[in-house]
Amino acid sequence: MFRSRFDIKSQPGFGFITLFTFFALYLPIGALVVYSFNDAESLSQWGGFSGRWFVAAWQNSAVQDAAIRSLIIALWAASLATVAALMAALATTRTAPYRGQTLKYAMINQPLMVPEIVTAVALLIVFSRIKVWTGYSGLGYLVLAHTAFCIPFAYLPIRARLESMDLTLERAAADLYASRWQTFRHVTLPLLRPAVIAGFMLAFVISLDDVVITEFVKSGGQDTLPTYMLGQLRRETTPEINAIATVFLALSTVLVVIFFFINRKKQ
Amino acid sequence: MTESRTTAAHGGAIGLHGIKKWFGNFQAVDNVTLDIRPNEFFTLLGPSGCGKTTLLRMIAGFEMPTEGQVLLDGSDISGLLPNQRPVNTVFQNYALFPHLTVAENIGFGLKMLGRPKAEITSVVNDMLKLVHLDGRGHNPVTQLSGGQQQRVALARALAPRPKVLLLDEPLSALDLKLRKSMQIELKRLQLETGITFVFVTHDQEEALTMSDRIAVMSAGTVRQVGSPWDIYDRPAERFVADFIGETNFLSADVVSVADNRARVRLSSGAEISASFPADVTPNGSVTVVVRPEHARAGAPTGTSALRGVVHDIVYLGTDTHVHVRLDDGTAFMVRQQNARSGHCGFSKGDTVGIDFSDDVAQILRD
Ligand SMILES: Nc1ncnc2c1ncn2[C@@H]1O[C@H](COP(=O)(O)OP(=O)(O)OP(=O)(O)O)[C@@H](O)[C@H]1O
Ligand SMILES: [Mg+2]
Repeated sequence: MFRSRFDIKSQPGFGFITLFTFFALYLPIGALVVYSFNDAESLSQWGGFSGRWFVAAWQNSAVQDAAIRSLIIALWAASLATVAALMAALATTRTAPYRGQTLKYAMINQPLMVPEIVTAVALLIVFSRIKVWTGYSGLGYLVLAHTAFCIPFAYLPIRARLESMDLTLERAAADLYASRWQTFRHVTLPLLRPAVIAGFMLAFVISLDDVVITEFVKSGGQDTLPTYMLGQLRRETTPEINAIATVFLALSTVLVVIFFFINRKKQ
Repeated sequence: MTESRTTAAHGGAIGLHGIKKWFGNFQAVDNVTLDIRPNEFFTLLGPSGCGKTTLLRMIAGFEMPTEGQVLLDGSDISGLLPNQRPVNTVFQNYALFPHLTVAENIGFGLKMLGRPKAEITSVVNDMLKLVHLDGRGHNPVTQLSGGQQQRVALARALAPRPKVLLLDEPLSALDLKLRKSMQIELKRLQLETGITFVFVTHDQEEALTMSDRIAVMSAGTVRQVGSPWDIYDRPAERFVADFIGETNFLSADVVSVADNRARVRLSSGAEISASFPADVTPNGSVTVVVRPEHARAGAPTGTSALRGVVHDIVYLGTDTHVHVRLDDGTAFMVRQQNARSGHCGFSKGDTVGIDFSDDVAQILRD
């Protein structure tokens, strides 16, 4: 095959930059995974291979609590965010262009633009007032806060898919006696499924990973895994948190792989 | 209504009364009035952008007329949503549901109508046979060829037994051979089902071979409605004559009018008889059309209607086109069927006489 002289691969330094980027990206992660199997008490001193930190983390009831709380919040937040994002996407793509449409996009995507710390402080103020008024101090606040910042992540893939979808399919359904709800249920939603799943998974991972907002909004005893790990860092650290981080990594890798295969099967 | 929607033994009549459609300040349809008869194969024919699709979409309910009424069997359906009209559409890009099988696509309409499973299965099987796709019911539609997808789209639209079937250039994506066989197929389906077909095309040959009646459209208006014979042999105006097939325009003066025929004098001085549209009384100077295949060229004689010089001869296999420059400078073409092999009998530069029988000339409305 003819290879252009201006092919980016033949530019000087291409190989070096590539290698450097890959190292910068993956070396720390590799180190993390390796050290999660470290037998020693220290975070950074190698003391032989062992899975004992996984066992320790697994048996640590504080870790268990935090993990379950993280999953509950992520499931609720991702579900609510996906539903909201789906409705927002339908409302922003199934209408003729109108004035103020860009503003609406901006508002939906606001959590991507406003610094997280600002939202965190704002929520802290509002929620603490509500807590005083209602006396309720359960996980609801965290679910609500997570839902809010997960919406844009669920929204983007769904909207992209809707925009590339053939509108005559919905017209054909209406022509064949489908009501608006039936059209959505039998045509639009099945065609959107990969995007909805992608949006849900993205939202799920984002929620699972959040530190800043959670740290500000949580009440006492409402640690999620990331805030628990942060708390551990402040005390004497054990390689337990390496093990937890490795499990996190495995979990998100599995989600990405599942998503990849779901999309592949559709083709 | 639900009852009659699927048990209709024959097709419905569509009335379009004073339809106008504006998109912003652009008028796509201008005062169209058409009566489409039950069981008819009716074609909307016209150049790109003349408003055919817009008209069809107003019958289907995807577009509301700005003014005017859409009637089905005499009752106004202008206010009904697409899913409330017993009218189905075959879309130009087929619009098959990619996540459903062939059978699920065909059964979609009946399922939405809440028909029992057993009925849906039996109708779907009938439809598969009707469009020669027996045994393909379980295939995903994405694995079918263009022609097969076309037939699934047809079966899907026919399965709920609509009163009227709307077809928007359904054959334009197919190659010539497939197209010819689908033309025959469509005609057969229309006769077998008795459903009124409203067919959109910009292919005049397709319109002539398939239709019971044709409406020729231009720039949002209907220029002429009639049988293929009317449209081809008795075009009412220049646009229609020009759009359908090839034709010769001659200027002439009206000499006399009797009943439904007129005597006109051509520039050569010869007088011929010509027909004219029912709604005009020709007088003064007019334009007359003669189809190329209705004229004969030969050695000039004293009685020839026209005289001219051959300036080009184009051999087309089945026919030969003889292009003649008439004495008054007008271009005139004669189409001769190549009954014998070899030379057509003329060469460039020959002087020829042109004749035609009395009933082939038509006077155009101005
Ligand atoms: N939704 C719309 N908004 C604005 N203009 C439109 C719209 N739909 C159609 N038009 C305009 O109306 C005119 C008629 O369009 P229409 O699609 O009916 O033409 P057509 O006869 O079907 O042409 P074609 O043979 O190319 O399909 C065109 O000029 C088109 O640009
Ligand atoms: Mg069109």
